[in-house]
Amino acid sequence: MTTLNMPDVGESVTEGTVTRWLKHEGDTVVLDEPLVEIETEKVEVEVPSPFEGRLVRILVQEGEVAAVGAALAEFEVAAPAAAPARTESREQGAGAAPATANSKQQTAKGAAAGAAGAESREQGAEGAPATANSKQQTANGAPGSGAAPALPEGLRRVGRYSPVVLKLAEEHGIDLALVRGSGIDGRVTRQDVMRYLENPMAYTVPPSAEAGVVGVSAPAPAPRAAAAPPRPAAAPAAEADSADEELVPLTATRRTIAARMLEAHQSVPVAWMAVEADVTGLVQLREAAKERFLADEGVALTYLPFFVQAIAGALRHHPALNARYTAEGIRVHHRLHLGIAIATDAGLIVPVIRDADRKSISGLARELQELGEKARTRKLGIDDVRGGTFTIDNTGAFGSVISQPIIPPGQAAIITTEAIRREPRVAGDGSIAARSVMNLCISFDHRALDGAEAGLFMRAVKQNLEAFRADQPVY
Amino acid sequence: MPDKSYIEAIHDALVEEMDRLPTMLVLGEDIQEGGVFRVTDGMLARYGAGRVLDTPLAESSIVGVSIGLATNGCVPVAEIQFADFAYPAFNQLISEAAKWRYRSNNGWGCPIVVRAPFGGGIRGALYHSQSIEAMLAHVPGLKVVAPSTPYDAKGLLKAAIRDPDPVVYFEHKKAYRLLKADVPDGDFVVPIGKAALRREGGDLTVISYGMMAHECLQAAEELAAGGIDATVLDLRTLAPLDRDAILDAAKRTGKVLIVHEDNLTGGIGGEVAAIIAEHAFDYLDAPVRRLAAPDVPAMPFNAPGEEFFMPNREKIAAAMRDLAAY
Amino acid sequence: MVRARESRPQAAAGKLHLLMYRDMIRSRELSDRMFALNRQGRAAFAVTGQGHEAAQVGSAYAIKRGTDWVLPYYRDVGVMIALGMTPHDILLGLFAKAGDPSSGGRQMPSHWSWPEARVVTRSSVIAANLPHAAGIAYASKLRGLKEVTIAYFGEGATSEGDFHEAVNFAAIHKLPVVFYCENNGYAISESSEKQMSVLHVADRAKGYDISGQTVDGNDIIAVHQTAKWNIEECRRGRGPKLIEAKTYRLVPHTSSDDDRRYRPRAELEEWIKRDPIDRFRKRLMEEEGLTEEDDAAMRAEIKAEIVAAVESAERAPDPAPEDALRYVFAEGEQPDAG
Repeated sequence: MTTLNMPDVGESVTEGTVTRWLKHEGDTVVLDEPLVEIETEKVEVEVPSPFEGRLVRILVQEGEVAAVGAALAEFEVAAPAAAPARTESREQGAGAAPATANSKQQTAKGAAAGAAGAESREQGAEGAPATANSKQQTANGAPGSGAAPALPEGLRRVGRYSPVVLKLAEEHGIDLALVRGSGIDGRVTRQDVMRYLENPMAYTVPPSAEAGVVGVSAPAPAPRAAAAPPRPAAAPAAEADSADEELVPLTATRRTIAARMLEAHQSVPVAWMAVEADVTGLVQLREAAKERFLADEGVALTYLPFFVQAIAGALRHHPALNARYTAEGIRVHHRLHLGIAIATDAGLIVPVIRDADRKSISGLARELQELGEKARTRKLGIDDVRGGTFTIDNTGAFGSVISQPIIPPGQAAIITTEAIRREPRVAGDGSIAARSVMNLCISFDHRALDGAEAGLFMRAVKQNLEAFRADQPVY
Repeated sequence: MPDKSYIEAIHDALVEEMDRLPTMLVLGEDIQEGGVFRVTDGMLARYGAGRVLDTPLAESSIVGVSIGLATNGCVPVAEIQFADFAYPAFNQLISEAAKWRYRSNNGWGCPIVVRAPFGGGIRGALYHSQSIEAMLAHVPGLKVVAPSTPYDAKGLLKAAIRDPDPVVYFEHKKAYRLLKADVPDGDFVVPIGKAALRREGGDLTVISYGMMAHECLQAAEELAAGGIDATVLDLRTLAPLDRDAILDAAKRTGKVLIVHEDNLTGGIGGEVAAIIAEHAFDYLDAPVRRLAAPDVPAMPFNAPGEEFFMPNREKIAAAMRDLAAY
Repeated sequence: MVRARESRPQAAAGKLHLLMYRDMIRSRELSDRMFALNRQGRAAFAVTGQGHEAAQVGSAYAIKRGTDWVLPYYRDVGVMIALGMTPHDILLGLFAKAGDPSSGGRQMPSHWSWPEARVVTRSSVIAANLPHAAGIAYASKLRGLKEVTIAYFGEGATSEGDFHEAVNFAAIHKLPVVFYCENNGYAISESSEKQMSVLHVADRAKGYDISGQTVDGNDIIAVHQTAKWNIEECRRGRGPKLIEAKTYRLVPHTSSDDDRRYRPRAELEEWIKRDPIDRFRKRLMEEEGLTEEDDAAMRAEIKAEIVAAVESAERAPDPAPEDALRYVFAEGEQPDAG
């Protein structure tokens, strides 16, 4: 069954009305015999039959409107219909490049490039048309035009950062090597950076992609052959795995920690001291208050909020500790943003409590709880981890009694709060009593501070901690 | 609000302005019988042969006479039957109209409007399908507009008629009966020089005009279903370009695709790309790309050739996908 | 072709004739001076009208200044003088000063524009303004106004398509426009037989079924009467007119042209003898009582006027460089609705 469709009479006409059928169902028709009269906005036409055969069924009745191309009637054709050679000719048109003098083979390539993806990219890059007439390739917007040349499987594009990616990295202090790229060949896109900012854990580079990173210096098309692309030192190819050991690949976090710790260790002259504080009062206070606190505030009351408050209070009076050393001078921060080191299974992470000195115990408790939760579920945002001026590491949580912490880069000191333990101590009057005591250790940058300042600070912390009394309100 | 086709919207603008301005004229070839596309249908009967003027087959004087009419207190809206035939009038447009105010040091203004149907996809071949806007947009002193919707067609034509300077108004002939939309009855103006943000999306930006703006929007909707969200900016005015809107749209996503059915080289796309490269460099996440017709004199009559020549929804969508993945 | 009527002396016209005579002298003196300024390196470019004074001044005196529309071409310094543009203002244009009324120093000199006198701006493109004249005239007719448009051009312009399109359009609609050709036999270096196949520009009128008239362009009275009659016929709605004033250019095309390359000295000498100003002076003296003394005084006075004008114009301020950015479009708020 062949259909007669509403003809396209050209020039912006989109529909027509069947005004009169000149043949009826059951009639035979010969080639060119007038079949039907159509009226459009511009013209009235009589449609001559394109085939020989029999009109079987009229689909659009007189007075009805149909769009150009819609079926008007069905025919049984005697001879093969003038089947539109369109598809055939299209293939001809596309495959056989126009045989005119000016056409270059590029035209055919260009036409094919629309279909082939990666293949055309390579064509586009290598066979870059040197002739003026081959603009067709580019013009058609075939993916080959202007697309980055493909890298072999497994190689990641690093170091080719677009302007906006560089700008965002600079603004937010991001190490782009850590950002997972979702663009062509692993390119880091603007959106990748935005996603990373919101959720660094989720959008850092997965370990498997570390293999075979193409470095910055490699210009795009040339070093496809693996002729020594710069490899990171931790390249796994150096030693084969054996039964006695296994190699755990570095995560991005591990890599970052390693780099930063090494840098801190190498560049900062660290001095260390420790004091002991009698926190019997604090322990009693907490014991007395913790149930009520949980009921009222909905968060558990640990020792950490007290530690933070004591330390923040001391820092207020000893601003030299809330600073950092630079070649131009000691940068003393007016605001107290305390980083709290938290251990997660992805590694150490240090979320920051901003303006810690302005917060109450319950405020601190709540915030510590939130940050801990976020850290553990990898939901920390960029603003949660930046801008710390001083760091507290609650090593006591692991039972440590003495630690020698490494100062986070960009700060002048870090303090640890060691485990609280019951020890016998000699009181002023010579009696021996069981007391709750804890150590506090400080590592500090001796370029920025001297032992005296550190000592005075530590004494202040100790005094603050020792000032807590069981009968104090906790809020 | 009534549904109007693109051509009805143009007709309405003309009639409303003719009613409002007793010294307005429409002039061109075959205007009196309605024009070859029927834009001026019914106007002869309504306004008389003095104001609905059939001109001789002489494009230079269609525009030249219009300039004289405007000089002596009339508001002429001339029609060049097909943009492809405007070249004899280029001397009048470029040497005269564009420079009228400038060369007389503001002694005279030249408030003419020249309408011309442009664009292809209707089997018009080399001389009934051309896009000539880039050549005129290049000339300081001319304003060039190309509406892509019935609403804009009416509003921009009114703005053109009210503009104290020469405006070339390109109407896409394929849009005449194909596009229908809500268009208010009565007076409203779409300002010249302002692009329209048709769609917002964070993955890439597409900038276009004319029927291609329409195609881009369709492609964007198709891609949205697949999770790629595009910003689509319809330029509407080609001279002066809405720089702020262009930069804003480019900065949103950093990835820009410019689409037009004019030839690639020297087309409006190049100017838009240069503006973006110069003023939004730090926001770019990918090279600025253009999808346009190949650099051949014009589209062939044969269907495969015409299809090969013209950008369309599918080609646009492919280019958009490619850019989004970059 | 219609032969011009022989001019008849009219007493009442005496005063008019003296005015016209003065303007001829002014035009000549100014033309000579502008050329000299160029040769002295004080003016970058000059295009002048020596030899055309009768054709220009005579016709311009038939125009209703401020009502009729005038489209002079670059040689028409005599028309502008007759319409009342002062030598000082004309020289502001020569020196491209900010106060130049035609263009503020933007166009080359003698590209006249003067809205107050309805002198319409024109470009350097020959004949492009003839369709403008037709459009202006159509508007006059449509609006029922008794205005006439007069467009001036050389015979070279009648080869341009725009000339034919304009005359055609004007003829179809019987528009009140006078097409006034100053045929001086040369379009730069090309003599007329290279320019057209007809002998007289006025013969072209037949092709458009309008009236075409040739007049001795060096006889100011004949010119004036012809122009007046044609302009008034237009005003009465009798359709467009083509006038061809036969004259001769006594100088090169412009200051950049060397006319010795294309015309013989003898021809020039011959036409110098037919100088329209000399011819009119002779007539005024013979028939209207102009004395040698009056004439000398008048000339001296005009010369002094021109000298003073050169001085004042040359001192006038130049346009500011950034002014080059202004007036691409209308400045200020543009109306949107209504």
